Amino acid sequence: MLLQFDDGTRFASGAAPFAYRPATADERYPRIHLPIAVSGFEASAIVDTDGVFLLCSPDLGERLSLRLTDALAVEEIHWRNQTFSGTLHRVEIVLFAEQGENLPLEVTAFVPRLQPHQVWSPEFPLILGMHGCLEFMRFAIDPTDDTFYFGELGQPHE
Amino acid sequence: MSAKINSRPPSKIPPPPIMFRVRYIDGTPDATRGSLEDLPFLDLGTLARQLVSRADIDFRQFASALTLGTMPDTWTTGVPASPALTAFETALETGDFVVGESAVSEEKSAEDLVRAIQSALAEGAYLYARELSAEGARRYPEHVLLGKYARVLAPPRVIRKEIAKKTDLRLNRDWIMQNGDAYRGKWIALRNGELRGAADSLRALFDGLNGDKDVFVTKVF
Repeated sequence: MLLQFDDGTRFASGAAPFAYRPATADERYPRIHLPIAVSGFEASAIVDTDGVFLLCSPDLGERLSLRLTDALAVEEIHWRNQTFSGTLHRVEIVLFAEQGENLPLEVTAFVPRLQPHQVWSPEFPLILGMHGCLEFMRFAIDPTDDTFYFGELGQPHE
Repeated sequence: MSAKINSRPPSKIPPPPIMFRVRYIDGTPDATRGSLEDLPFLDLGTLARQLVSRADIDFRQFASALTLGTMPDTWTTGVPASPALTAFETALETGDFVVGESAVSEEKSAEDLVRAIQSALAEGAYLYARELSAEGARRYPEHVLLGKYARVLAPPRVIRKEIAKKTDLRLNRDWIMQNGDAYRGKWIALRNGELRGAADSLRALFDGLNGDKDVFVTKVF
């Protein structure tokens, strides 16, 4: 059942099962892995409320063939004490729902352009950050059955 | 559950009160102090940016100290006093920081704004970059690059379109939870809870799928 406020209005419009596993070879702690689509490509994304934008790994960015005409070159983006150059894009993503409705969103994505000495150490293909990505939606998790609830912001109901 | 529905994101948690002083090293003995708690802000990055843009002190040092809570008792700057610094001092003394004040001064050119947006992005002041780009696009609607910045950096928005429901989300999730350890470091493709391919790279994975695109892809750890 989807979450509701006291007056019956919905907190969440959709819910999806998430996998709870580490996101890199070096991590000891699990993260929330959600099924999403980016520009029609279905893949797993980890939720990073400390992050910014939708971070796409370089190989996934290449696979998505994001239009370079719409890209904005950025010299520096900081992620977890590292600095990357790359491009910013406006992309469509979908949060898939098992219960309720899918949630299609337009968000800001960053695709790093690695220098010869750099590696994409986050390793994971997609990272859903807060600013530019999750910041204008509701979400909640139920750890008893690993369900991620999500919904768009609604109208005031008081 | 009891909560209020808002059409805006929730407000940020205010920073702890930090007392600080600004002093100049050009021989001017002036010092000033104020409380950051009283200042309007969107987030620490934006706040720091707004303060520093008035004071011409080093943004990165300032933002770092602000974020880490290591603001020195005395902030020393190598730039001479200027009208901006004077305004900064006055604002600190009176608490007269204007909420909602335009981030873009009237005399800034479109190129100035582009540089300011790029600088804000490099400094991690993402909200400020969004604010600048939106105002720049309003002020210079014919400027292609400012329009692009405004579009790309705009807040996320919900799209009204029908997307077919997926029926294998749980099957794929369960497969990863049960079998993932055997594929650590690999890219895998799943459909309906069945493994369709595994490879060391995304490119090799798709080469092995022979054009089959209707799969769910992830890297497993």
